[in-house]
Amino acid sequence: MATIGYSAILLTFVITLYAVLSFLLARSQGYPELAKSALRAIQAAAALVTIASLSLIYLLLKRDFSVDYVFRHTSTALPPIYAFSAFWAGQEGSLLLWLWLLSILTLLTSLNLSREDEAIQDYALATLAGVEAFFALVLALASNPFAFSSRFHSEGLGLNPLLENFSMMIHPPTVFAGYAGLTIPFAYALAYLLAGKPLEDWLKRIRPWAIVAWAFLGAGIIIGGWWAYIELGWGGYWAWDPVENSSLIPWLTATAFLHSAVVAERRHYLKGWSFLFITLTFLFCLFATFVTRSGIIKSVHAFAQSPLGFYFVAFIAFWALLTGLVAFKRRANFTGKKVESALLSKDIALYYLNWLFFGEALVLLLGILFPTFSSAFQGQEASVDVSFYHQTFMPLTAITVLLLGLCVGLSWGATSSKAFLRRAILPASGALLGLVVPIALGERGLFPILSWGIVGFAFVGVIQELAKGLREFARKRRLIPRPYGGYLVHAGIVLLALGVVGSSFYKAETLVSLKPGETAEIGDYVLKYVNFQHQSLPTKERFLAQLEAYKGDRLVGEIRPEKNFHYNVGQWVSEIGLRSTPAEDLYVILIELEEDGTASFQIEVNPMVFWIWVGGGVMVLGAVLALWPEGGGKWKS
Amino acid sequence: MNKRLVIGAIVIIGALLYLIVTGLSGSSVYYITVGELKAKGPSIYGKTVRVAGKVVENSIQWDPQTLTLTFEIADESGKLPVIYHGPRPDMLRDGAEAVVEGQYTPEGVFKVNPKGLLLKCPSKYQEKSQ
Repeated sequence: MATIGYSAILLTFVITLYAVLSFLLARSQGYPELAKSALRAIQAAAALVTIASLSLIYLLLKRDFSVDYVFRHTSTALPPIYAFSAFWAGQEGSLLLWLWLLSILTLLTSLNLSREDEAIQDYALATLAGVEAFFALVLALASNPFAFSSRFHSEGLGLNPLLENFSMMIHPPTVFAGYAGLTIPFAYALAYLLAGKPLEDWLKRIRPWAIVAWAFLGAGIIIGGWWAYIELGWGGYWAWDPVENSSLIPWLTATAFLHSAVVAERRHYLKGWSFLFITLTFLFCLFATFVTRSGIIKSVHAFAQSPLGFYFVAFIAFWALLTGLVAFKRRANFTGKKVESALLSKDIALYYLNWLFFGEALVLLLGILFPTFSSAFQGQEASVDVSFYHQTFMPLTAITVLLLGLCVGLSWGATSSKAFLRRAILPASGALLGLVVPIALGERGLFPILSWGIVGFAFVGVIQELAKGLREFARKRRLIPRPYGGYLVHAGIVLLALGVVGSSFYKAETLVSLKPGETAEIGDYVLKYVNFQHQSLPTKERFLAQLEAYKGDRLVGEIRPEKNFHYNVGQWVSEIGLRSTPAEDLYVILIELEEDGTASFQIEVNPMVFWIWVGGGVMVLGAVLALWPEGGGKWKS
Repeated sequence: MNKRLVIGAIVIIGALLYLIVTGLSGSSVYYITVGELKAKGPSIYGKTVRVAGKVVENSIQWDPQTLTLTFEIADESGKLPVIYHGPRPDMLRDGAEAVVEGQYTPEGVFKVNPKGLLLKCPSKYQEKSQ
């Protein structure tokens, strides 16, 4: 089975390379038959990658430990569902998943295309086949999931218990679906440019792809934060880790792309920006895959030595160079019609928004690469700590959220200052409320007060816009989903911002050591340590504490944090105790449980974290609404 | 694009550069090896640096009463005793890849800052486990 899988990958490489060459030859020499054969090669590649992926799934489920990847990520005691999810537990499987998703999406685009624009189809599929060929090459040479173990193993190492979690099962595929999906709009951008076709048509065609992929990536990032929050047991959802940041970069550039694309479609400029952002998105998706799956970041010196690093850096450089050259050659395609926009208009606000997103992506990238730069230029390796992101990323994000609140008041082309002021009254009062209420409640910090003001402004702005949509719906009895999908996404962002502000500035935590029957206080809560349990299970030693949470005299809930020693990895894993409400989360980590029942706990009150997950859900909902066909499915590509 | 937009862009780029430069100057922390740390002598006491290394076998000691964790990390250039106050991280075990951020003390012990103990995230942890 491993041989079948490996052969399928080798064949995929050959056949996708053939597809690239045939498409390009078909274009330059004009052989339509060659393009048809290349199209079949694309379809065959999807089948081959599917065979390879199914082989890996089979090997994982069978726990065939003669295959090194299976040996390292599964064990006989592992439930089948986790053995299946071990597919993407490691580098090799993750790269195969990337390729699998991309090959299927490529197949879908090749089926879904009309025949009239062969040039675009050929160039786009050649690009996609090129990306597939790259992943197949990496899998074949540097990161083979089907490599055999060097020794005989009767038992596998097992999955890291931290990954045995529902959110960890869905987080990687969701993120990878985003990465692979964002490759499609890039391929079409390049194809339209190569074919010399107007970019406005491209924007219309790839919009649904871009939105779906963007939503997947965003959802994936939030699921990752949720996993960190409930599974890693440190009380946070975002640590500014290079791996997290690297996934946020393409999401930011994709968000910038979606905004530029609206301007390009409606006002015929920012076409160059749209192209730039979708190209950056693609390159950063590759970069993020490389950062996440190569483990380069802690030991930067391995950068050049790791073969995987070489492949990715070369490939990213290749595409950057190629798109740069094509864009330069076809620069005439980017010049828009002469449209004058007043400074006070949605167009210009979106232009500035581009710079904000660009800046946010840039500081994240700098933070990731700083160790590399500093060792190259200063001879000593340095890295940035969290305060770097607080000082750079956060101010930019605050202005972004502020602009989001302004979105309501601005019209396309020009806005009269009178109309603008009229529409800004309500959001401004929201801002005022956001500033005054915290001060009245005793808040004296500048940043919390400013943050509340900005969130208050954006919150009321978004509500105002959604209310306008509802009124229109009530009057005309017809829903115009597309712009309101966007506004709903904005609402999700504001909810997320609310959660971030609340949980960043008002987190309370304490470390206590308690005997059964004793209590601890945090915020309004009194926690009573009721009882403890110790169980010896075949796979782990289980330590469990039972606590009761009181508010005043009222019992509000029971909390049961655990700490388990997993034999397969020889490691302690905490299962946190959580009581989540819209106002705040009571979050308890069992640090230690001794024989006599003395236990130490880390207890935290994390306000408003709930709204981060709700905001994420609202964003996905908004994306679905934005996909709603206008006038009965006209957007179908 | 008219002139006003270019001016706006220049202002934004300027602000961005300002943010980055001030951000970097305040928050960059140097990585040094155990050997370098010991060679620097008194000049390094009290300065925040990062040291990366593997947790030495059987060196982990944990006092749950005071929540004090002591262990040693080692790289190619030597061993370094480390003291940390706070909850014991789950991922801490013999041979784990650790990065500590804190200060070297005259007693020859590296005092880790609160939340300054980083252990390899599981997405990367598998790399060197075989």
